[in-house]
Amino acid sequence: MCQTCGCSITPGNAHLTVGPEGGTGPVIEVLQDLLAANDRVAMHNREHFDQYGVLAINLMSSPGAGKTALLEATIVALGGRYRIAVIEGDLETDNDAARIRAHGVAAVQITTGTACHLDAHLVHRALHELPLEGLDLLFIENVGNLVCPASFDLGQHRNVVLLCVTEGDDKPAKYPVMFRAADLVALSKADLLDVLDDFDPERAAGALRALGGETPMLRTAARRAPEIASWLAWLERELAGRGIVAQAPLQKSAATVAA
Amino acid sequence: MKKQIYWSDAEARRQGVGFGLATGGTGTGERRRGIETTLTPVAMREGIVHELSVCQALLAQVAKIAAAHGATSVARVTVEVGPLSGIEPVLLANAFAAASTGSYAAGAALSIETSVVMISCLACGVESQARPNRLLCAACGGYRTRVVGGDELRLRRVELQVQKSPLVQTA
Repeated sequence: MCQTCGCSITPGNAHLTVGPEGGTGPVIEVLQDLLAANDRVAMHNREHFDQYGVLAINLMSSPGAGKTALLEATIVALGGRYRIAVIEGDLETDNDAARIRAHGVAAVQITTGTACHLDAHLVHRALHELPLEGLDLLFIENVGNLVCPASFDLGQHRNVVLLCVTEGDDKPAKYPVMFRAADLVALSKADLLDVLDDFDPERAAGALRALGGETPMLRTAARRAPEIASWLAWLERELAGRGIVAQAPLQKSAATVAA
Repeated sequence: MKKQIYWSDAEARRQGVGFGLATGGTGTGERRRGIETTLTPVAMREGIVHELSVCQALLAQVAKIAAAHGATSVARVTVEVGPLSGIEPVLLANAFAAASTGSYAAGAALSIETSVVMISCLACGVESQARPNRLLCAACGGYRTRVVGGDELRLRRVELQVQKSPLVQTA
């Protein structure tokens, strides 16, 4: 690979990419982040979350790693004590939002068409459909993709990346940008480890550690007999860290009736 | 005639302009069923299209700068793209060729400056070069490191074309 990348210029497109011999006007030094516009909106989203005391979690993984299943199990386990909502990102269908709503939790579906990631603008638009003042915890389930979502700040407080045990245990080494962005990595469908002989959790942890930092890794199993205690403990620590306290279930239903 | 760029054949079909538009990054317009379209680079059909989003953000910044300086067009755009930015330079260049059509930057050269990944060790304080997926201290092997270079994704400079008398004096 060349250092100033002319490798993409072919005889077919050279006329488009090769400009005139030097400009006739000023040369403007800029040094501005290319995603500055996205980051501004992300900051704005984060201000909203902070203003209303909502913990926002951006959940990312490959397609099929079990993001929605983990959210369903989480809602069942926590739903009575924290007020939860979900923003779902998918190319098409509102199937995932329907699964979340079936648990009595508000869900906004963003269908991105062909776009491979959510950005701060899309999330901001979705926020207008959610009663932020009545929420404790907002999950943003990103488009299933280990590449593009890593580049776009949504305004979340924490990034959680699922690494499904049916994938390779070298995923952190293959997708360093994504796994470096993670505040927590969850090995999902961990109940399948018993029947899989090619996924070594230690190797996955080693690949994650090689990216620097001390990103914690824990295991989850969200279907059949859910085993998500360590995930719930992490979530509750994050909630408590932001001063968000659990509601007593009875109190909450009383408040709902009163409303 | 308004130009449209479709990110995929599926999207093009949805817009009712037939299929098979994505055959190369030439950026030349093509008329199908009455709607002018722009050929979509093959790289962007593979589902990895965030380079196009980044490119659109880049073009918006360039347009703002060009307009502020009374430029008629842009000769060259220089960006910095580090190995840990999550952006693939080749795909960004392809996206630029297609997305810049009809903008201030149409016909401009895109220079992409890459960098190396540099980390600083929180344990021993040594700065060392690293591979993108192995951010361990070269001196002590420690994993508690901080990336100090290699994640750049920045517009570095814009070289403008000004016909006739410029509205703004150069410094």
